[in-house]
Amino acid sequence: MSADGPMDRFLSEEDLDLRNLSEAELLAWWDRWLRQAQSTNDRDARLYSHGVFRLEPPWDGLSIEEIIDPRPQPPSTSESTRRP
Amino acid sequence: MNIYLELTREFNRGRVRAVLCSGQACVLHRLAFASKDGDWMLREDDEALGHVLAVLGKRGARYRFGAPLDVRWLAGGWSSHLEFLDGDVRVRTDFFARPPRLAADDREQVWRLAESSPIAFTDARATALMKMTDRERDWAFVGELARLMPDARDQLRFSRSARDIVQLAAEHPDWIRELSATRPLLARTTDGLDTLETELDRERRRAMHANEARLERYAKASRNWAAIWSEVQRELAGQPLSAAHSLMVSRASAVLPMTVVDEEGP
Repeated sequence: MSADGPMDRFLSEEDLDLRNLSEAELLAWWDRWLRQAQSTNDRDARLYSHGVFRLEPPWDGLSIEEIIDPRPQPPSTSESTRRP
Repeated sequence: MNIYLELTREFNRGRVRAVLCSGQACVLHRLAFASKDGDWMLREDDEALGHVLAVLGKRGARYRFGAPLDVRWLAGGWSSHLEFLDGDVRVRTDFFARPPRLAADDREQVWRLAESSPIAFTDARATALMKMTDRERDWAFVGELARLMPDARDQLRFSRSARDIVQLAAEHPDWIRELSATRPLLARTTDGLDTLETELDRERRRAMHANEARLERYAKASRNWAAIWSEVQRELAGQPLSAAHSLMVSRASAVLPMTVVDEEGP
């Protein structure tokens, strides 16, 4: 599909820049990103990214809405998981 | 090698059993780094699940709360979740056999493509279906994935851009009547961008609510399992994964239904 006029954007230029990386560069950035993202492990210790669960028990006292749409713990430090 | 590619290779040694999905598939589609967890669609058979468990057992994985990695639960749409440390990296591995919104022929297509790929990961179409969740951020990926679809009909089925849709409709006017039967907003392509954008928002909201309703059914069905999870977790602690798995199956059998009634149909 050609795009002559303005284009709707869904992801940032920085994100889409992955297309310009070589295979080796992609793998290196991927690993680096993954290591950096470990800084938020405490915040999402009870959360799920995929599947039919969103929050690890205990669920005592929680509503169904809180179980299926839990909030991550607030950050203890201001750390970034963006590509450096 | 990246841990998720390494695991995919190990899962598929000798036979394709696992297809890397969602966030990590988006990296392979060169869209963005978005998730530190990996998820795989698995073959719905005992050999495949046994092999995956054996691979994870060698890595010292432990079960998180979820369904046992067992055909009977996975066939009911449940997901299984395991975790291990790879050096200082927490590796979460999420599994399902019947991802939401993928019909039987969609899943067949995923397996067909995986059989002929050096790395088994979901194509743009299947990844987009998986990303149509109740999370706003996932829909950005659907928008970009639609642009990667080689078939213009699929672009029309999945596009999140009113501008793209208008342009595609102008290029393929004959398809609009046919495709609007399954995607009604395509019948509004001549009503202006504002109308189309409103319809896109409405379509997204409907899909998000449908996903919430699905999660709600599984949450309700797993209440009893959640209630005994801390006790089960204590029993699993320190067990090798094969023994932990047997215990999971035995304990879940009593409280976790294998199927969850979908009030809205498949």
